[in-house]
Amino acid sequence: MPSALERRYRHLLSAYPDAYRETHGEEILTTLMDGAAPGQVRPDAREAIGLVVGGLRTRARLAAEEGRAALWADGLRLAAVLLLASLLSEAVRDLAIPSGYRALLVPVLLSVAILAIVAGVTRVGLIVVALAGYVASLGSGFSWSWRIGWVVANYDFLATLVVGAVLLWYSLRGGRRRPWPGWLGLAVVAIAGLYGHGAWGLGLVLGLRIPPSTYELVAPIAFLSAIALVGNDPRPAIAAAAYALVHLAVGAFGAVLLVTYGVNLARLGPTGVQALLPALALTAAAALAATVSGRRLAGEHL
Amino acid sequence: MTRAQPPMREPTYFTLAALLDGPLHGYGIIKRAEDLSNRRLRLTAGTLYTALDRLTATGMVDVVREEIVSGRARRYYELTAAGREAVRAESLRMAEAARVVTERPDMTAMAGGSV
Repeated sequence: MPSALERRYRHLLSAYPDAYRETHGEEILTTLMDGAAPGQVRPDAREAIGLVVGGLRTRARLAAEEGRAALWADGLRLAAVLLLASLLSEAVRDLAIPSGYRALLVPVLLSVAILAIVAGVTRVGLIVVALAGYVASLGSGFSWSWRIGWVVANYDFLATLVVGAVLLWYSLRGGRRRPWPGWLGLAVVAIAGLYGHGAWGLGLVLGLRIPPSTYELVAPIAFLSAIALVGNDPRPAIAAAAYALVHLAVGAFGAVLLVTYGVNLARLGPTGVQALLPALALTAAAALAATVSGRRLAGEHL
Repeated sequence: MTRAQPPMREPTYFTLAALLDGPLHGYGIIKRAEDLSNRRLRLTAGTLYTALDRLTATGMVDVVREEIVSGRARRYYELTAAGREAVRAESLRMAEAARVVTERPDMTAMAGGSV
């Protein structure tokens, strides 16, 4: 029976890609167990960090062997997960307003789509996203004028969903591989979906006047850029930059409408406009992280 | 334009140096590298296998045999001629760099006295 230490090391080895673990996992485990002290039950902290960093870098190296297009495809697929997570948190928040079974169906569909993409079945995810878009666009009205009104009021939701679907469609070129460990995908979802609103609430309590959409961006972008820099992997930073850019574009469009026509769309009031500058800065920061990690990946030497 | 080869990373250097005396398995390399570096460098398994992957990919190290002893899988690695040459070239580069400092008269005097 494997010892507790062995089980824990095996768990940490999941930072490595499946294919690599099949050929090298047992060997690395032997090396780890050789170096363990008698009676040791917990992994050494240095070894644990070494495995996570080594695993992330190995993932990046193997993805890079498939070419630049595969790196982009993986990065944009992760961006789509982020966008769907932020829409999911919005849809869940909107449940507070009673608006029928359709409103309940949207978060369910978004959750299914996210899980499918994280599990590596992007095609299924794409179909479910399309379905979520259809259900959401039905809105809560019955007549066409109602529907059009709803679509206009929720244009940011629908536009983000469409962009997410386009990114997913593009990412199908990158094959069906699972580019990240499942926990990374779910951590991203948790941070993008949950942290944003929680932190906004905390900010209100502390009396900070920071727009909510800035919070939605800061945590996922910081997290993904850090992963990119640690793992010499441009993909998470590409995802962060694309995510921030979509927020920026949707916000900027709303701001243009507000200034030009005085049309104030949902969630794009003064705080939405205020958020444009931070969104621009965060897009630039993520793009920088993508460039630096991409250079490191290309320039990895002995 | 060709760029000069950047200095070798320390884990890579000591991994190659550890294999100069003959093939070793993963933990053998870690122990040997630790001894060679006066206990300064303790490679983690993650760092070691990142280095070994690059070294095998560039043909500096080869897997010489695989075995399973009491349920544990081991691979033994050995230096190739290219690996031997690379570690020698790196050691010469470092010696060259060291000489810039150690061969100064003021530094030679210091070496004789107390530090």
